[in-house]
Amino acid sequence: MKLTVDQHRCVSSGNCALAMPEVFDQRDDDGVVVLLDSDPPDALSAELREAEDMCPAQAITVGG
Amino acid sequence: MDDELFDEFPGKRADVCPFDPPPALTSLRESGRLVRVRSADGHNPWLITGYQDGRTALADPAFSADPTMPGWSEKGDAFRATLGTDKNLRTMDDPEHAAQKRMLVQEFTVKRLSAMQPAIRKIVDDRLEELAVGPQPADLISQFTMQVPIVVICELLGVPYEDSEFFAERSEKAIGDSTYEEAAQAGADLREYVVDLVAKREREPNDGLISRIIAQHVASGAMSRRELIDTVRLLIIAGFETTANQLGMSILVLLQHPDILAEIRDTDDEALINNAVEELLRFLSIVHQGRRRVAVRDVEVAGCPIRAGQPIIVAANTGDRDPAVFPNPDVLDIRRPNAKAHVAFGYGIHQCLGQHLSRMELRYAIPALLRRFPGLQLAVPFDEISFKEGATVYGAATLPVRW
Repeated sequence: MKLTVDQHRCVSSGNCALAMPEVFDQRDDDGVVVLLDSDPPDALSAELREAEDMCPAQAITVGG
Repeated sequence: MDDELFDEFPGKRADVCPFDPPPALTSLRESGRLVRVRSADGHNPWLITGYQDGRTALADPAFSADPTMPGWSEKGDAFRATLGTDKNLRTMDDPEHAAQKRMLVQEFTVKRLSAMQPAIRKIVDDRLEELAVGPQPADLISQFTMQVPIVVICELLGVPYEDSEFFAERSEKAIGDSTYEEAAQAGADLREYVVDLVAKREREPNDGLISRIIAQHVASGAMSRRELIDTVRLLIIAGFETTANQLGMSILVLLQHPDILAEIRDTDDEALINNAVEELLRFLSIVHQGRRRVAVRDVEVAGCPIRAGQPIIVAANTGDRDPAVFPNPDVLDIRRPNAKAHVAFGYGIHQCLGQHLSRMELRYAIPALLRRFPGLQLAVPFDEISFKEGATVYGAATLPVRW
């Protein structure tokens, strides 16, 4: 499924990287989100929706 | 009814349920109404008690976190005297906030903090060993739940542990249930301490956070010395009190739920422990004074118009018990599927910088304590435990235990 992140909105909370380290990472120097997998398997959809909802900056969009 | 002011914030909890938000606040959330709280400064902030409304407000740039903005309503005298004029991550709005955060957050990323895991384990294990050889009953608050995060913050910042008694006492006064004068004195003492500390680290760098920030950001001029001083003072004041109270209240609520306590103690399922920690954060949501902002333009929350210059308080403890998000919200359920959706660490750009550090401490310390002392029990009747009703962070004053 399609997954996008907005690095400009990201506030480096790290919630996504903590919840799903196989999909999200943080840049070393400023903690901004890095997408490791922009097309993760559909089986992860519930967890991804949760990460989308929990992001305090609403920087994650799950769609498709 | 628009002129009616609400007098019960943060409110008194029911004697029989010190873990639940005050009944008056819960009724307010159930009503779906926004009311204005009577405040000593006359600014009478709007009170937001629902989960979704709270998140919406905290994520909306129409609200500022800067206490120098017109209309700002401060938590109380102590806060006004100490942290009210600080210029740091807590009080900045974007884009200034984002620039400041980028300089600090590398110290608090999930990966970076995981390097502290062995140190945290040792700190917890050492305190448990001290407890084990000491007399009973012991006070879990002063001997364990306060000690662990204080030693951790000393380690992180590169501050000598010998100083911790000094800054712990001042911190408690600075944001506790103190008079303006007491808080102002404590805040000034802490500032003096941090000014000396920063000067010392400039002369003699070590491997702590303060030295790294000086080398990377202050030396280049990206962060001012004043910002560093305000930031370090904030990290000291906010860096252990929260985790300490969350740890103490978690143990206390588990002692009242022996089945859940036994499950956490006996499981080797790391995911269950992690979820239990999130559920304890949700259930206790200890920042009971709420989060404050002020509207910088006219805006609407829950259908209620809020004008530019009007302050708001977002109550997290009622949001975290909102049945629209958490079914049976007043039940402690360590398998709750969406426990981690809580707002105990806040929401929006100001969500707690140290949240993962706090999680790491809680995830290790809670089961470690329960395993070290399988017979852990209160040494006084539950109704003799007193709680810090007036403090910024809710918690038990003392926790006498035996095992």
